Amino acid sequence: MLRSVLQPSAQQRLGLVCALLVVGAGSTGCVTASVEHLRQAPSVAVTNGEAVVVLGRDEPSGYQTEAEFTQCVAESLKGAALTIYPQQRFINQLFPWFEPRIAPMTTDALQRLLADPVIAQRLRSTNVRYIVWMDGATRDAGNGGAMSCAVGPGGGACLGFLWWEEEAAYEASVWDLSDVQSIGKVSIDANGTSYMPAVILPLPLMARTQAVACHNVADALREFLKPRSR
Amino acid sequence: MSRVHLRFLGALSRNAKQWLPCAIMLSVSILSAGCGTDLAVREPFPKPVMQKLPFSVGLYLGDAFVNHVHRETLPDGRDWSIDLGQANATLFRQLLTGVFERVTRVQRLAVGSALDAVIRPSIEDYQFSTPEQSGTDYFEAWIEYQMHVYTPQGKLMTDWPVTGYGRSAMDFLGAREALLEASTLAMRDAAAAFTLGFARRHGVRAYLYGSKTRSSAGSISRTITPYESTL
Repeated sequence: MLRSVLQPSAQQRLGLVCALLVVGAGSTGCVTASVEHLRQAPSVAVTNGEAVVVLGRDEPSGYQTEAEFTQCVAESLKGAALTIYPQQRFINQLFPWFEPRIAPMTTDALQRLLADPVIAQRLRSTNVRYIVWMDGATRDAGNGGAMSCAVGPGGGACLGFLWWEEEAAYEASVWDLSDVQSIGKVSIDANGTSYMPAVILPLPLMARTQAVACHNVADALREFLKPRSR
Repeated sequence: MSRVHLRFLGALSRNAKQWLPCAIMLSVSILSAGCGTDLAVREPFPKPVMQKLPFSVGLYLGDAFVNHVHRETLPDGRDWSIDLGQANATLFRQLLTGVFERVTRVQRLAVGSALDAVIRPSIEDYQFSTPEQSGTDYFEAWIEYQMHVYTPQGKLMTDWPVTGYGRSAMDFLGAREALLEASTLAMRDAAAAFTLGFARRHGVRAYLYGSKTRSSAGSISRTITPYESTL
């Protein structure tokens, strides 16, 4: 209906806008990533009924591991036939011991916490066997370029070019709660550059730095947590 | 004709950059939406999971506490009104119910010997900052309570401050939700601080254990909780 009332020139403009949006949606910037594993236990077997919870570190005086990143890792692990315990439910079930201020930073601290039989029993009732602690953040690493936009009665337009870089650095520590020990770590460094050229319309070419880091971490964790034959 | 020049993006947050094209278009509708925001924190705060302390305490919540509304006008002219009262009441009911064996809501401070002590929280300060003020992606909130502990006869035994901090990244168009979440996290943080801080209040604990021993004329073993022993 909308198209029937538009003049040809307006239709052409609409077509151009749509074409640019389609191109922009399908194009991305560049991302490079490197992953390192450190296995501290020989093998890990997740059996039926055992769950994994993915938690994000939040330093009250510093950075916060982004909630969307831990959510992304948790969602990605679901596809590996692992039972993922919802993060917020876990934190609520064990309130306040996993609040940022007092969450155990080491397995020794967790061991001391579990000396309280009430806390230990509550933890057992969740069937969570593994805690994956995500620690890190995605940060700006530089930017540049220039763009000018003008708006008038006949419409608006932009002209210019912008770019910016992001660095994603995360470490996943896996704790086995059956004997309260760390069984391994996965770390990832990813760098991405996004671009936004503008000729009439700005066209963002976004580097999905955080998403690439998430999927790489999840792939590595799947290797860590999949059942192994002895 | 109006012009906008974007020389560099250093002043913009990472989230802002990702949403820049849409943000330019939608900011007009945000600005036209009004200049005041009313919020009410409504959270079903969980009870602390721990070995309960073997005491019966009264919880006194004054009118000023349960009806507390923080009002503030920011330098940009926007009015904020944040209702913390009901959430405060819920938080402390849940908190004390998890920490003590028996909790009774009381209407006065002098309650007689049926209870071991009366606890009265008061809100001393609440502050928040917006991403524009802090130059970050976050809404941040700080809350400070004062915990007053009274003998069953209504005499103030001790008081101490309990503070909490929370922050929440502002999602696109989510200022309201981000501030609510930051405030909720600040209250949860204060609850965590109280749980740990109470274990440190050796004077209060000594009084409570002493009164229990006196009233029961029996021996009550002094329970050292695991988290207390690590303090």
